[in-house]
Amino acid sequence: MKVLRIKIEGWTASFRYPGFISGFQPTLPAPPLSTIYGLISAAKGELTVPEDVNIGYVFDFESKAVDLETIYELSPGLSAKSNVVKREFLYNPELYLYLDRPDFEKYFRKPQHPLLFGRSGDLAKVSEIKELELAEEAGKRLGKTILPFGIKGAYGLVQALPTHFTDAIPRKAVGVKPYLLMDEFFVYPEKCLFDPEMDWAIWLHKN
Amino acid sequence: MTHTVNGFMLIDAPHSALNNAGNDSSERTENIVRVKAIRKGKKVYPYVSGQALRYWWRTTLEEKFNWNISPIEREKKIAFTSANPVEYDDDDVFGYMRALKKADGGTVTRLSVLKNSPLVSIVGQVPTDDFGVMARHEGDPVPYEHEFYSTVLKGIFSLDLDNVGVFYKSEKTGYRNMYPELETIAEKNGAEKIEDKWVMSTEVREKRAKDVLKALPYLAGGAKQTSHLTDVSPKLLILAGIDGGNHLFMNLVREEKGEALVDVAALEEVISDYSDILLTDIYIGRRKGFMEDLDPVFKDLTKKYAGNNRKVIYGSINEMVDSFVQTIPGLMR
Repeated sequence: MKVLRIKIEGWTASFRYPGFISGFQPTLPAPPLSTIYGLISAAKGELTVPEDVNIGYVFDFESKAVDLETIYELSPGLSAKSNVVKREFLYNPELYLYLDRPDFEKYFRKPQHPLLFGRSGDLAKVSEIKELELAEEAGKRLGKTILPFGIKGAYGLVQALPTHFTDAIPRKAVGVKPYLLMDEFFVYPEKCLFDPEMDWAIWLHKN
Repeated sequence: MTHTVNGFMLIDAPHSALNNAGNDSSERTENIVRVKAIRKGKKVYPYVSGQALRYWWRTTLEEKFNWNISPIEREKKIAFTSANPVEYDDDDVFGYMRALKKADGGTVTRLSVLKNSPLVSIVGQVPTDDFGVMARHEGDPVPYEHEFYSTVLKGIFSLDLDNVGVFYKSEKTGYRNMYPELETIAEKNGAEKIEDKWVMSTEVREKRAKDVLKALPYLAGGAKQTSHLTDVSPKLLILAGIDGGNHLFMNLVREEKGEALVDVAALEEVISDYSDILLTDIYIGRRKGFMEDLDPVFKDLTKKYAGNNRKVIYGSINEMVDSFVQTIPGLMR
Protein backbone atom coordinates (compact mmCIF):
# COMPACT_ATOMS: atom_id res chain seq x y z
CA MET A 1 0.00 0.00 0.00
CA LYS A 2 1.05 3.61 -0.52
CA VAL A 3 2.15 5.33 2.65
CA LEU A 4 3.80 8.58 3.59
CA ARG A 5 6.80 8.33 5.90
CA ILE A 6 7.75 11.43 7.87
CA LYS A 7 10.83 11.66 10.02
CA ILE A 8 10.47 14.11 12.90
CA GLU A 9 13.34 14.93 15.26
CA GLY A 10 13.66 16.95 18.41
CA TRP A 11 15.98 17.60 21.34
CA THR A 12 13.54 16.84 24.14
CA ALA A 13 10.13 15.27 24.60
CA SER A 14 8.00 14.05 27.44
CA PHE A 15 4.74 12.18 27.33
CA ARG A 16 2.91 12.34 30.60
CA TYR A 17 1.38 9.31 32.19
CA PRO A 18 -2.30 10.16 32.55
CA GLY A 19 -2.36 9.05 36.19
CA PHE A 20 0.47 11.16 37.61
CA ILE A 21 -0.13 14.79 38.46
CA SER A 22 2.27 16.00 41.15
CA GLY A 23 5.51 14.91 42.77
CA PHE A 24 7.20 12.88 40.07
CA GLN A 25 5.99 12.84 36.50
CA PRO A 26 7.47 9.94 34.57
CA THR A 27 7.33 9.88 30.80
CA LEU A 28 5.89 7.17 28.59
CA PRO A 29 8.61 5.50 26.49
CA ALA A 30 6.64 6.21 23.32
CA PRO A 31 4.06 8.87 22.47
CA PRO A 32 0.38 7.91 22.71
CA LEU A 33 -1.76 8.16 19.58
CA SER A 34 -3.34 11.33 20.91
CA THR A 35 0.05 13.10 20.85
CA ILE A 36 0.61 12.02 17.25
CA TYR A 37 -2.86 13.16 16.18
CA GLY A 38 -2.09 16.43 17.95
CA LEU A 39 1.11 16.75 15.93
CA ILE A 40 -0.77 16.03 12.68
CA SER A 41 -3.45 18.56 13.70
CA ALA A 42 -0.76 21.21 14.25
CA ALA A 43 0.70 20.52 10.83
CA LYS A 44 -2.69 20.51 9.11
CA GLY A 45 -4.01 23.49 11.07
CA GLU A 46 -7.25 21.79 12.03
CA LEU A 47 -8.35 18.98 14.30
CA THR A 48 -7.37 15.65 12.74
CA VAL A 49 -8.85 12.44 14.15
CA PRO A 50 -8.48 8.71 13.44
CA GLU A 51 -11.42 8.92 10.95
CA ASP A 52 -9.24 11.20 8.75
CA VAL A 53 -6.04 9.18 8.63
CA ASN A 54 -4.61 5.92 9.94
CA ILE A 55 -1.20 6.10 11.56
CA GLY A 56 1.67 3.86 12.56
CA TYR A 57 4.97 4.93 14.05
CA VAL A 58 8.35 3.91 15.39
CA PHE A 59 9.78 6.13 18.13
CA ASP A 60 13.26 6.14 19.60
CA PHE A 61 15.36 8.35 21.86
CA GLU A 62 18.94 8.46 23.11
CA SER A 63 18.46 8.73 26.85
CA LYS A 64 16.19 9.70 29.72
CA ALA A 65 16.78 12.52 32.19
CA VAL A 66 14.91 14.26 34.98
CA ASP A 67 14.17 17.98 35.04
CA LEU A 68 13.00 20.12 37.94
CA GLU A 69 10.11 22.34 37.11
CA THR A 70 8.13 25.00 38.91
CA ILE A 71 4.43 24.33 38.68
CA TYR A 72 1.53 26.43 39.87
CA GLU A 73 -1.29 24.56 41.50
CA LEU A 74 -4.29 26.64 40.56
CA SER A 75 -7.27 27.42 42.64
CA PRO A 76 -10.17 29.62 41.53
CA GLY A 77 -9.48 33.33 41.24
CA LEU A 78 -6.04 34.82 41.10
CA SER A 79 -4.21 32.54 43.49
CA ALA A 80 -1.95 29.59 42.97
CA LYS A 81 0.49 27.67 45.09
CA SER A 82 3.89 27.08 43.57
CA ASN A 83 5.52 23.72 43.86
CA VAL A 84 8.46 21.88 42.34
CA VAL A 85 7.97 18.66 40.40
CA LYS A 86 10.48 16.28 38.98
CA ARG A 87 9.63 15.63 35.37
CA GLU A 88 11.25 12.89 33.38
CA PHE A 89 12.02 13.68 29.77
CA LEU A 90 13.49 11.96 26.74
CA TYR A 91 16.62 13.27 25.04
CA ASN A 92 17.02 13.45 21.25
CA PRO A 93 13.69 11.85 20.33
CA GLU A 94 13.21 10.58 16.78
CA LEU A 95 9.89 9.64 15.27
CA TYR A 96 9.20 7.80 12.03
CA LEU A 97 5.54 8.46 11.33
CA TYR A 98 3.64 6.47 8.71
CA LEU A 99 0.35 7.77 7.30
CA ASP A 100 -1.95 6.01 4.85
CA ARG A 101 -2.72 9.37 3.22
CA PRO A 102 0.17 10.43 0.92
CA ASP A 103 -1.71 13.68 0.24
CA PHE A 104 -0.77 14.84 3.77
CA GLU A 105 2.72 15.58 2.44
CA LYS A 106 1.93 19.27 1.94
CA TYR A 107 0.98 19.73 5.60
CA PHE A 108 4.36 18.52 6.78
CA ARG A 109 6.21 20.45 4.13
CA LYS A 110 4.70 23.66 5.50
CA PRO A 111 3.16 23.00 8.92
CA GLN A 112 0.41 25.44 9.84
CA HIS A 113 1.55 25.80 13.47
CA PRO A 114 4.96 25.31 15.10
CA LEU A 115 5.52 21.58 15.53
CA LEU A 116 6.11 20.31 19.04
CA PHE A 117 6.83 16.97 20.67
CA GLY A 118 4.17 17.63 23.25
CA ARG A 119 4.92 20.82 25.16
CA SER A 120 5.98 24.27 24.02
CA GLY A 121 9.61 23.61 24.96
CA ASP A 122 9.83 20.47 22.86
CA LEU A 123 10.36 21.96 19.44
CA ALA A 124 10.43 19.48 16.61
CA LYS A 125 11.72 19.41 13.07
CA VAL A 126 10.42 17.55 10.04
CA SER A 127 13.64 16.39 8.48
CA GLU A 128 12.48 13.93 5.82
CA ILE A 129 9.27 13.18 3.94
CA LYS A 130 9.06 10.15 1.68
CA GLU A 131 6.29 8.40 -0.19
CA LEU A 132 6.71 4.62 -0.09
CA GLU A 133 5.03 1.54 -1.46
CA LEU A 134 5.00 -1.01 1.37
CA ALA A 135 3.93 -4.64 1.40
CA GLU A 136 2.99 -6.94 4.28
CA GLU A 137 5.52 -9.48 5.44
CA ALA A 138 5.62 -12.00 8.29
CA GLY A 139 8.43 -12.65 10.79
CA LYS A 140 9.80 -9.09 10.91
CA ARG A 141 10.84 -7.04 13.94
CA LEU A 142 8.11 -4.88 15.43
CA GLY A 143 8.33 -2.53 18.39
CA LYS A 144 9.51 0.86 19.79
CA THR A 145 5.93 1.98 19.50
CA ILE A 146 2.60 1.39 21.16
CA LEU A 147 0.48 -1.58 20.22
CA PRO A 148 -3.12 -2.48 20.95
CA PHE A 149 -3.31 -4.85 23.91
CA GLY A 150 -3.44 -8.52 22.97
CA ILE A 151 -1.10 -8.76 19.98
CA LYS A 152 0.57 -12.13 19.65
CA GLY A 153 4.02 -12.17 21.25
CA ALA A 154 4.02 -8.49 22.28
CA TYR A 155 4.88 -7.47 25.83
CA GLY A 156 5.56 -4.30 27.83
CA LEU A 157 3.79 -1.87 30.10
CA VAL A 158 0.03 -1.78 29.82
CA GLN A 159 -1.53 1.67 29.93
CA ALA A 160 -4.97 3.01 29.09
CA LEU A 161 -4.50 5.78 26.54
CA PRO A 162 -6.78 7.86 24.34
CA THR A 163 -6.56 7.95 20.55
CA HIS A 164 -7.28 11.67 20.43
CA PHE A 165 -8.79 14.62 22.25
CA THR A 166 -11.70 16.83 21.28
CA ASP A 167 -10.88 20.50 20.72
CA ALA A 168 -13.74 21.78 22.85
CA ILE A 169 -13.34 23.08 26.39
CA PRO A 170 -12.75 21.08 28.50
CA ARG A 171 -10.93 18.72 26.16
CA LYS A 172 -12.25 15.21 26.39
CA ALA A 173 -10.16 12.09 25.83
CA VAL A 174 -11.70 9.92 23.12
CA GLY A 175 -11.24 6.21 22.38
CA VAL A 176 -9.43 5.24 25.57
CA LYS A 177 -8.36 1.62 25.48
CA PRO A 178 -5.45 -0.46 26.83
CA TYR A 179 -2.18 -0.26 24.91
CA LEU A 180 1.15 -1.98 25.26
CA LEU A 181 4.16 0.31 25.46
CA MET A 182 6.88 -1.56 23.61
CA ASP A 183 10.28 0.02 24.09
CA GLU A 184 12.16 -2.70 22.23
CA PHE A 185 11.75 -4.81 19.10
CA PHE A 186 10.45 -8.36 18.99
CA VAL A 187 9.87 -10.70 16.05
CA TYR A 188 6.21 -10.61 15.07
CA PRO A 189 5.20 -13.94 13.50
CA GLU A 190 2.14 -12.64 11.64
CA LYS A 191 1.89 -10.54 8.50
CA CYS A 192 2.42 -6.86 9.06
CA LEU A 193 3.30 -3.75 7.03
CA PHE A 194 7.08 -3.79 6.49
CA ASP A 195 9.56 -1.02 5.67
CA PRO A 196 12.58 -2.69 4.05
CA GLU A 197 14.65 0.50 4.18
CA MET A 198 14.46 0.67 7.97
CA ASP A 199 14.10 -3.09 8.39
CA TRP A 200 11.15 -2.88 10.74
CA ALA A 201 7.46 -3.66 10.70
CA ILE A 202 4.89 -0.94 11.32
CA TRP A 203 1.66 -1.46 13.17
CA LEU A 204 -0.92 0.68 11.42
CA HIS A 205 -3.58 1.63 13.96
CA LYS A 206 -6.75 1.11 11.95
CA ASN A 207 -9.68 3.23 12.94
CA MET B 1 0.52 29.07 6.78
CA THR B 2 1.66 30.87 9.84
CA HIS B 3 4.70 33.10 9.54
CA THR B 4 7.30 32.33 12.19
CA VAL B 5 10.76 33.48 13.10
CA ASN B 6 13.17 30.57 13.51
CA GLY B 7 16.12 31.25 15.74
CA PHE B 8 19.19 29.28 16.70
CA MET B 9 21.70 30.32 19.32
CA LEU B 10 24.91 29.21 20.93
CA ILE B 11 25.73 30.34 24.43
CA ASP B 12 29.27 30.15 25.71
CA ALA B 13 29.45 28.84 29.27
CA PRO B 14 33.15 28.59 30.06
CA HIS B 15 32.91 28.02 33.85
CA SER B 16 29.25 27.95 34.70
CA ALA B 17 26.47 26.43 36.72
CA LEU B 18 23.54 28.23 35.14
CA ASN B 19 20.72 25.93 36.22
CA ASN B 20 20.94 23.53 39.14
CA ALA B 21 19.08 20.43 40.22
CA GLY B 22 19.52 20.84 43.97
CA ASN B 23 20.75 17.82 45.87
CA ASP B 24 19.80 14.24 45.47
CA SER B 25 18.69 12.18 48.47
CA SER B 26 21.28 9.55 47.56
CA GLU B 27 24.28 11.92 47.89
CA ARG B 28 26.96 11.18 50.46
CA THR B 29 26.59 14.63 52.02
CA GLU B 30 23.62 16.89 52.33
CA ASN B 31 25.14 19.97 50.77
CA ILE B 32 26.16 19.03 47.27
CA VAL B 33 24.40 21.00 44.57
CA ARG B 34 24.34 19.26 41.21
CA VAL B 35 23.89 20.95 37.85
CA LYS B 36 20.95 19.92 35.68
CA ALA B 37 22.25 17.36 33.22
CA ILE B 38 21.23 14.66 30.80
CA ARG B 39 23.15 11.40 31.00
CA LYS B 40 23.77 9.45 27.81
CA GLY B 41 25.87 6.35 28.31
CA LYS B 42 29.05 7.50 30.02
CA LYS B 43 28.62 11.12 29.08
CA VAL B 44 26.92 13.98 30.85
CA TYR B 45 25.28 16.84 28.96
CA PRO B 46 24.54 19.82 31.21
CA TYR B 47 21.48 21.82 30.28
CA VAL B 48 19.42 24.85 31.23
CA SER B 49 15.70 24.11 31.30
CA GLY B 50 13.43 25.89 28.86
CA GLN B 51 11.59 27.41 31.78
CA ALA B 52 14.78 29.06 33.06
CA LEU B 53 15.61 30.51 29.65
CA ARG B 54 12.11 31.98 29.41
CA TYR B 55 12.58 33.55 32.83
CA TRP B 56 15.82 35.22 31.69
CA TRP B 57 14.11 36.40 28.53
CA ARG B 58 11.16 37.85 30.38
CA THR B 59 13.32 39.67 32.93
CA THR B 60 15.54 41.08 30.18
CA LEU B 61 12.47 42.41 28.38
CA GLU B 62 11.26 43.98 31.59
CA GLU B 63 14.55 45.62 32.50
CA LYS B 64 15.92 46.62 29.08
CA PHE B 65 12.78 47.29 27.10
CA ASN B 66 10.48 48.55 29.83
CA TRP B 67 7.95 45.90 29.12
CA ASN B 68 4.74 46.26 30.97
CA ILE B 69 4.91 43.02 32.95
CA SER B 70 1.79 41.36 34.25
CA PRO B 71 1.63 42.14 37.97
CA ILE B 72 2.08 39.41 40.49
CA GLU B 73 0.58 39.94 43.89
CA ARG B 74 2.73 38.53 46.62
CA GLU B 75 0.67 37.26 49.44
CA LYS B 76 0.85 34.02 51.31
CA LYS B 77 0.06 32.17 48.15
CA ILE B 78 1.89 33.08 45.00
CA ALA B 79 -0.43 35.11 42.88
CA PHE B 80 -0.88 34.62 39.22
CA THR B 81 -0.43 36.92 36.27
CA SER B 82 -3.46 38.96 35.37
CA ALA B 83 -4.10 37.13 32.10
CA ASN B 84 -4.39 40.47 30.36
CA PRO B 85 -2.44 40.34 27.09
CA VAL B 86 -3.87 43.65 25.94
CA GLU B 87 -2.12 45.77 28.55
CA TYR B 88 0.70 43.43 29.57
CA ASP B 89 3.25 42.54 26.93
CA ASP B 90 4.45 39.37 28.62
CA ASP B 91 0.98 37.85 28.91
CA ASP B 92 0.72 38.24 25.15
CA VAL B 93 4.09 36.73 24.25
CA PHE B 94 4.62 34.15 27.01
CA GLY B 95 1.03 32.93 27.31
CA TYR B 96 -0.98 32.34 30.45
CA MET B 97 -3.52 30.23 32.25
CA ARG B 98 -5.98 31.55 34.73
CA ALA B 99 -8.93 29.97 36.45
CA LEU B 100 -11.66 32.58 36.72
CA LYS B 101 -15.00 32.12 38.36
CA LYS B 102 -17.61 30.70 36.00
CA ALA B 103 -19.46 34.02 35.99
CA ASP B 104 -16.29 35.89 34.96
CA GLY B 105 -15.60 33.61 32.02
CA GLY B 106 -14.25 30.32 33.43
CA THR B 107 -10.72 29.12 32.74
CA VAL B 108 -8.81 31.06 30.11
CA THR B 109 -5.58 29.91 28.51
CA ARG B 110 -3.26 31.35 25.93
CA LEU B 111 -0.67 29.36 24.05
CA SER B 112 2.71 31.07 24.10
CA VAL B 113 3.66 32.59 20.75
CA LEU B 114 7.32 32.31 21.78
CA LYS B 115 8.43 28.70 22.02
CA ASN B 116 11.95 27.78 23.05
CA SER B 117 13.93 24.62 23.64
CA PRO B 118 16.09 24.08 26.70
CA LEU B 119 19.74 25.10 26.29
CA VAL B 120 21.62 21.83 25.95
CA SER B 121 25.37 21.26 25.99
CA ILE B 122 26.66 20.24 22.58
CA VAL B 123 29.45 18.11 23.98
CA GLY B 124 29.31 15.50 26.69
CA GLN B 125 31.61 15.95 29.64
CA VAL B 126 32.18 15.41 33.33
CA PRO B 127 31.22 18.49 35.37
CA THR B 128 33.85 19.67 37.86
CA ASP B 129 33.07 19.04 41.50
CA ASP B 130 34.11 22.14 43.44
CA PHE B 131 34.82 22.30 47.14
CA GLY B 132 33.74 25.40 49.04
CA VAL B 133 34.00 26.32 52.64
CA MET B 134 32.28 28.71 54.99
CA ALA B 135 34.73 29.57 57.75
CA ARG B 136 34.08 33.13 58.82
CA HIS B 137 32.45 32.09 62.04
CA GLU B 138 33.66 30.69 65.36
CA GLY B 139 33.93 26.91 65.55
CA ASP B 140 34.18 24.29 62.83
CA PRO B 141 34.22 25.38 59.20
CA VAL B 142 31.35 24.17 57.02
CA PRO B 143 32.47 22.53 53.77
CA TYR B 144 30.06 22.31 50.85
CA GLU B 145 30.29 21.21 47.23
CA HIS B 146 28.84 22.29 43.93
CA GLU B 147 29.30 21.36 40.30
CA PHE B 148 30.14 23.52 37.35
CA TYR B 149 30.98 22.92 33.71
CA SER B 150 32.69 24.42 30.73
CA THR B 151 30.78 24.02 27.52
CA VAL B 152 28.84 25.60 24.70
CA LEU B 153 25.05 25.38 24.97
CA LYS B 154 22.72 25.24 21.99
CA GLY B 155 19.15 26.49 21.88
CA ILE B 156 16.41 27.09 19.35
CA PHE B 157 13.23 29.11 19.43
CA SER B 158 10.31 30.06 17.24
CA LEU B 159 8.14 33.15 17.36
CA ASP B 160 4.68 32.84 15.85
CA LEU B 161 4.25 36.24 14.19
CA ASP B 162 0.66 35.69 13.10
CA ASN B 163 -0.46 35.44 16.70
CA VAL B 164 1.53 38.19 18.43
CA GLY B 165 -1.11 40.63 19.66
CA VAL B 166 -3.95 38.46 18.34
CA PHE B 167 -6.34 37.10 20.95
CA TYR B 168 -8.88 34.41 20.28
CA LYS B 169 -12.28 33.89 21.67
CA SER B 170 -12.77 30.31 20.49
CA GLU B 171 -13.80 27.33 22.56
CA LYS B 172 -10.48 25.59 22.09
CA THR B 173 -7.77 25.01 24.69
CA GLY B 174 -5.01 27.56 24.24
CA TYR B 175 -7.28 29.75 22.12
CA ARG B 176 -9.77 30.82 24.71
CA ASN B 177 -7.84 33.96 25.56
CA MET B 178 -10.75 36.30 26.18
CA TYR B 179 -13.23 36.88 28.97
CA PRO B 180 -15.88 39.63 29.21
CA GLU B 181 -13.75 42.03 31.25
CA LEU B 182 -10.81 41.63 28.88
CA GLU B 183 -13.01 42.35 25.86
CA THR B 184 -13.95 45.66 27.43
CA ILE B 185 -10.26 46.41 28.03
CA ALA B 186 -9.42 45.42 24.45
CA GLU B 187 -12.06 47.72 23.06
CA LYS B 188 -10.82 50.58 25.21
CA ASN B 189 -7.25 50.03 24.01
CA GLY B 190 -8.19 50.19 20.36
CA ALA B 191 -7.99 46.49 19.52
CA GLU B 192 -10.03 45.55 16.50
CA LYS B 193 -12.56 42.73 16.60
CA ILE B 194 -12.41 40.47 13.55
CA GLU B 195 -14.77 37.48 13.69
CA ASP B 196 -13.78 35.50 16.79
CA LYS B 197 -10.53 37.28 17.50
CA TRP B 198 -9.23 40.60 18.74
CA VAL B 199 -6.26 42.16 16.97
CA MET B 200 -4.03 44.79 18.54
CA SER B 201 -2.72 47.71 16.52
CA THR B 202 0.06 46.92 14.05
CA GLU B 203 2.33 49.23 15.96
CA VAL B 204 1.95 47.30 19.23
CA ARG B 205 2.26 43.91 17.50
CA GLU B 206 5.43 44.87 15.65
CA LYS B 207 6.99 46.42 18.73
CA ARG B 208 6.39 43.30 20.82
CA ALA B 209 7.79 40.96 18.17
CA LYS B 210 10.82 43.18 17.57
CA ASP B 211 11.54 43.57 21.28
CA VAL B 212 11.58 39.78 21.79
CA LEU B 213 14.42 39.53 19.29
CA LYS B 214 16.14 42.75 20.29
CA ALA B 215 16.41 41.42 23.84
CA LEU B 216 18.65 38.56 22.73
CA PRO B 217 21.95 40.50 22.68
CA TYR B 218 21.19 41.61 26.24
CA LEU B 219 19.99 38.28 27.58
CA ALA B 220 21.03 38.00 31.23
CA GLY B 221 20.36 35.55 34.00
CA GLY B 222 21.41 32.22 35.38
CA ALA B 223 22.36 30.81 38.75
CA LYS B 224 25.65 31.19 40.63
CA GLN B 225 26.54 34.44 38.90
CA THR B 226 28.40 35.67 41.97
CA SER B 227 31.12 33.07 41.69
CA HIS B 228 30.76 31.93 38.08
CA LEU B 229 30.01 35.10 36.18
CA THR B 230 28.72 33.97 32.78
CA ASP B 231 27.58 36.21 29.98
CA VAL B 232 24.58 34.28 28.71
CA SER B 233 23.89 36.47 25.71
CA PRO B 234 24.15 34.40 22.51
CA LYS B 235 27.60 34.35 20.93
CA LEU B 236 26.30 32.91 17.70
CA LEU B 237 22.79 33.70 16.52
CA ILE B 238 21.03 32.60 13.35
CA LEU B 239 17.67 34.11 12.41
CA ALA B 240 15.28 33.61 9.50
CA GLY B 241 11.62 34.14 8.69
CA ILE B 242 9.84 30.90 7.82
CA ASP B 243 6.55 30.04 6.16
CA GLY B 244 4.98 27.42 8.43
CA GLY B 245 5.84 25.82 11.72
CA ASN B 246 8.88 23.71 10.99
CA HIS B 247 12.09 24.31 12.98
CA LEU B 248 14.85 24.23 10.43
CA PHE B 249 17.88 24.92 12.59
CA MET B 250 17.88 21.90 14.88
CA ASN B 251 20.82 20.06 13.34
CA LEU B 252 23.32 22.85 12.80
CA VAL B 253 25.76 21.74 15.47
CA ARG B 254 27.14 18.41 16.51
CA GLU B 255 29.75 16.88 18.71
CA GLU B 256 32.92 15.77 16.99
CA LYS B 257 35.86 14.35 18.94
CA GLY B 258 34.67 16.08 22.07
CA GLU B 259 34.43 19.49 20.39
CA ALA B 260 31.41 21.53 19.37
CA LEU B 261 31.24 21.76 15.60
CA VAL B 262 29.03 24.10 13.58
CA ASP B 263 27.96 22.08 10.56
CA VAL B 264 28.03 24.51 7.65
CA ALA B 265 26.96 21.76 5.22
CA ALA B 266 23.77 21.34 7.27
CA LEU B 267 23.13 25.08 7.02
CA GLU B 268 23.63 24.98 3.25
CA GLU B 269 21.22 22.07 3.06
CA VAL B 270 18.59 24.21 4.80
CA ILE B 271 19.14 26.99 2.25
CA SER B 272 18.77 24.61 -0.71
CA ASP B 273 16.08 22.21 0.59
CA TYR B 274 13.83 24.82 2.10
CA SER B 275 14.21 27.69 -0.36
CA ASP B 276 10.43 27.70 -0.86
CA ILE B 277 9.83 28.05 2.89
CA LEU B 278 12.37 30.74 3.71
CA LEU B 279 10.69 34.14 3.72
CA THR B 280 13.82 36.15 4.43
CA ASP B 281 17.56 35.94 4.00
CA ILE B 282 19.45 33.99 6.65
CA TYR B 283 21.06 36.28 9.19
CA ILE B 284 24.12 35.00 11.02
CA GLY B 285 25.49 37.02 13.92
CA ARG B 286 28.70 36.10 15.70
CA ARG B 287 30.44 37.74 18.63
CA LYS B 288 34.11 38.39 17.90
CA GLY B 289 36.39 35.95 19.71
CA PHE B 290 33.82 33.15 19.78
CA MET B 291 34.59 30.29 17.37
CA GLU B 292 36.89 32.61 15.46
CA ASP B 293 37.62 29.92 12.86
CA LEU B 294 34.06 30.31 11.56
CA ASP B 295 34.75 33.86 10.41
CA PRO B 296 36.20 32.99 6.97
CA VAL B 297 33.62 30.20 6.55
CA PHE B 298 30.66 32.55 7.03
CA LYS B 299 32.30 35.19 4.83
CA ASP B 300 32.57 32.58 2.08
CA LEU B 301 28.90 31.70 2.52
CA THR B 302 27.84 35.31 2.01
CA LYS B 303 29.85 35.37 -1.23
CA LYS B 304 28.55 32.00 -2.37
CA TYR B 305 24.89 32.99 -1.95
CA ALA B 306 25.24 36.62 -3.03
CA GLY B 307 23.35 35.93 -6.25
CA ASN B 308 20.87 33.58 -4.61
CA ASN B 309 17.21 34.32 -4.02
CA ARG B 310 17.86 33.84 -0.30
CA LYS B 311 21.16 35.31 0.77
CA VAL B 312 23.34 34.83 3.80
CA ILE B 313 23.93 38.01 5.77
CA TYR B 314 26.75 37.94 8.28
CA GLY B 315 27.92 40.39 10.93
CA SER B 316 27.99 41.11 14.63
CA ILE B 317 25.13 39.91 16.84
CA ASN B 318 23.70 43.38 17.43
CA GLU B 319 23.96 44.37 13.75
CA MET B 320 22.19 41.21 12.65
CA VAL B 321 19.38 41.54 15.17
CA ASP B 322 18.86 45.16 14.14
CA SER B 323 18.82 44.27 10.44
CA PHE B 324 16.58 41.26 10.94
CA VAL B 325 13.90 43.11 12.89
CA GLN B 326 13.53 45.43 9.88
CA THR B 327 11.96 42.47 8.06
CA ILE B 328 9.27 41.93 10.73
CA PRO B 329 6.72 44.44 9.34
CA GLY B 330 6.89 42.59 6.01
CA LEU B 331 6.32 39.22 7.69
CA MET B 332 3.42 40.26 9.90
CA ARG B 333 -0.09 39.94 8.58
